[in-house]
Amino acid sequence: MALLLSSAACGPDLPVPVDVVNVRLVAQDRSWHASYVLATSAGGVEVPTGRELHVPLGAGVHLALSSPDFISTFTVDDLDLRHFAAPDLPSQVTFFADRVGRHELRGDELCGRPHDARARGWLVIDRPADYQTWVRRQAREAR
Amino acid sequence: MTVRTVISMVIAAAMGASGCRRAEPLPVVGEVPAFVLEDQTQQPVDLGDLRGSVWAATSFSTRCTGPCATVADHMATLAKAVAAAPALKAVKLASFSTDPDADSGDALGQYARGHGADPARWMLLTGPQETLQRVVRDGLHLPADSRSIVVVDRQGRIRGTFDGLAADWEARVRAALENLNGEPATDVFVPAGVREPWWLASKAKTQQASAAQLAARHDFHFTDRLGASGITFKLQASTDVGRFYTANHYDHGTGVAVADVDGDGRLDLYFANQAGASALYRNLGGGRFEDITERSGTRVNGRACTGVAFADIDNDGDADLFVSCVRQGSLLFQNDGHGRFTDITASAGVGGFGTHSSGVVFFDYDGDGLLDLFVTNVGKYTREERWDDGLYAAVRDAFAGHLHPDRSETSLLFHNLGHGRFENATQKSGLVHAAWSGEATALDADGDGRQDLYVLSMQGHDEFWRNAGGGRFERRSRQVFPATPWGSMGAQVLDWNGDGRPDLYVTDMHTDMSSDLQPEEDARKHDPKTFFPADFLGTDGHHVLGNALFTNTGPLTFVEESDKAGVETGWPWGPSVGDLNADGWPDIFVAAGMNYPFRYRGSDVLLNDGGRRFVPAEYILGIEPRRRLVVPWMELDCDADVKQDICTGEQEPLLAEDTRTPEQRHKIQPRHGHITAWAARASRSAVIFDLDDDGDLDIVTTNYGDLPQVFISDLSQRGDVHFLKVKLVGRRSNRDGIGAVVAVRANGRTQTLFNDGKTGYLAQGVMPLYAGLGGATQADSIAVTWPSGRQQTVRGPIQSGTVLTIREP
Repeated sequence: MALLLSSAACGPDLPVPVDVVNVRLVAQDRSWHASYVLATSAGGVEVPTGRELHVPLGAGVHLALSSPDFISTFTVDDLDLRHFAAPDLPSQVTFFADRVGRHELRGDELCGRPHDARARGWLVIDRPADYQTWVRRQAREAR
Repeated sequence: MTVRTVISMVIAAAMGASGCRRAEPLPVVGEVPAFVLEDQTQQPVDLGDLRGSVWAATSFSTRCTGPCATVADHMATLAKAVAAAPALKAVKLASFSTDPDADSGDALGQYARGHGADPARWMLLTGPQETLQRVVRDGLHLPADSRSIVVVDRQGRIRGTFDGLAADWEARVRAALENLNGEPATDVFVPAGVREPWWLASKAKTQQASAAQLAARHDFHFTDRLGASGITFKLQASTDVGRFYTANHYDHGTGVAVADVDGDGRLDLYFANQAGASALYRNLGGGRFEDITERSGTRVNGRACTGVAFADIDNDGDADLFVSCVRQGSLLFQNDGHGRFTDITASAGVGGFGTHSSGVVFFDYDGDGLLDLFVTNVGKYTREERWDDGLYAAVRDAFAGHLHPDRSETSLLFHNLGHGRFENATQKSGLVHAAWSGEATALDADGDGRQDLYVLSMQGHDEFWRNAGGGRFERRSRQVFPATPWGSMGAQVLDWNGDGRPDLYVTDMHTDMSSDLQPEEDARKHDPKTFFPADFLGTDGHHVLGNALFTNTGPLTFVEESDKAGVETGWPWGPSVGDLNADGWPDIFVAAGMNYPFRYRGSDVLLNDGGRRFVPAEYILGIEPRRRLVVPWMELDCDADVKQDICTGEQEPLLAEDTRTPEQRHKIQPRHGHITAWAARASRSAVIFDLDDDGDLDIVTTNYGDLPQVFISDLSQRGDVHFLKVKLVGRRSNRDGIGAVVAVRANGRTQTLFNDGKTGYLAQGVMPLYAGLGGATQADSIAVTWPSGRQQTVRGPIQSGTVLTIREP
């Protein structure tokens, strides 16, 4: 299944897949940095979304985790996800987005500062239409 | 009076006592030298205790009848003013003894009471004469019978000296103190609340209330007498941890070991250091020590060291010394029997490996009567750059090192060839161990008389190496210990349940990094749901999620009973074992806690309740809480260190209940100028021994980035204490008798002591075995099984208090 974004002016003018979503998630300077690669007729456009990432309900999600500096845990308790990001050890988290909701994403530097608010983020599972809207807005703001 | 003092008095007089206009800043005229002394309640006080406070200093003597007697009365007046005046809030007073022989004990207590000196506000400081002279005469420029009052700012800088007998002394001194107190505070406490944890009082109260139900003897008390000991050693943290906090293995600290290095019958102390110099202290008796590092030839500086072990490597009857270090080479020193050492590292063939060395175990694995040496290597956690202190900088992902095979280092087994020479026997012995190991301990786990080796891993499974004989080891890890802690730090062999078999207690610190347990959860195991992600472990995932107590139930058979026995603790480093209450059952001290930027956790005392379980007693026995829970951790110049988190404002004191959004937290204002960041005090290693030779066991700790603690027990002053001390002298076996098993029979039961020399985390020592006899006034017999296999029995009665030397036939 694929949806087509309505306006090329928003950035991506090719279908945005909602059955499989790939997100790059980098733990850097004790904060999460998510980014999406959206396809356009001119090629791929990387859209950074900061500490928040959205995925559509029903999608298979692949998060490519990495970190250029510290070791960071990656935890989404609601979805029972526990992984880590570390330099030179890229890893992939794969899960099925089966519950609409806003889920807290935590990332504590290993043996670092506990309760570091900067290391918190959000993983939001949207209905596909809402996901489209969010992607469109992110692409627009990123321009 | 010095020229400098006169100038400062003139300046101070010119400033006057007017409170109408804003006072000019007082000039900086000197710095107070670092010191370690004790107050009128025998609590240690060091310069760090006064950091962050404005204070006034005088000299005093309890026998003074001249000007200093009047100055003392004026200090009492000042103490009342400080208590009452908001402008003097948090100001402290410190009077330094000029006659420490007279200014101690009851005389000092009486003097303090007579002057109404509350130690929280007015400290009467006494201690070693040389320390006092250095601080009072040379630092504060206060002679005996001085009439001067010195004012000091929050950073320990002298800002003025006043005539304490002048008519307007009070107005002038108060004005100066108010002036300094009005300067911007430069202290940041990380995390917020670390000075006065909300949970501490209730935890102490709960434990103290439990004493009534405690069957194990607990009617005694420890007092930290560091200030009277003459020990000034400070464990200097590496730049990585102490200046720019990054998580790496440097913060694991260093060890402290004991032996009688000069043959005078008293047990001396050696402290390994990290970014500072090591120190050897000679025991003078009565709880006092002198620093003999230089003249002993054992000073190590400019390299980060970790473990320390005393052992008689040449069977000549004295304690030689091995110090393990990071990258820049471990060191072996040979003792001449009089406490003078020669560095024989090169000729012995035990140095120059460039590894990240840590734990040190001397044991005789091939039964030839010579102590062999096992040195654990952690793995490569540093990079090529060096800091100004000469230490290699740490990598930022040190705790993922186990997932990088190229960073592992093989631990080292050295076979003792005699005559001070060793050969690297790692490969030919088959003991090729490449886990991330900071410690190891020897034990005879299968009862075959040979010493096996349990090697801890701080990032993975512990490994068990069975001694197969013939100088060979075989790896039997998972067969014997299917599940071990993942983050093991320290281990001790003991017979905790009195069945005569060697049990094994292992502390697990790294698992405490996996989730943030709350204070009330320190005695709980971690939840598997919040343990490290499976892909981070690098193992099969079968772990004890915290400390382990492996009870030996037969040859190569162990049952994990940590929860049943009650030995889970929070953020533990190293355990030490000793019969603290002399009841014939081994107790445990766990050096514990983490510094910046974590919350305070205390060390633990686990009293053995008759072999049935252990009960916590650190608050009952006076080990906890420390009077001051924090230590100055980082000194920052926020005009220069603009990127440091504390300076940018991003590193605001942390609160568990902080509900601010990330955006709100990012609006914190940057800081400027000088900042002192304070962090929790925390211990690493400890040794339990009879420091003052009074028949009970005392405790000395190392504390990271901090001074040690010297806990003196008053058990022997509380009434009769029954005990034996047993020194072993091997003949066919190694001279220290390492590997011997000693069974003491008294009052119808036998207690079993294992002479493995392991005294605590990162440490091995040479000292008599201590056997408490409980209510028995004599022992019926002592049976020794020597490493050579010989059995020897000394028949009683052997009277309590005996120090018995048993020589192998």
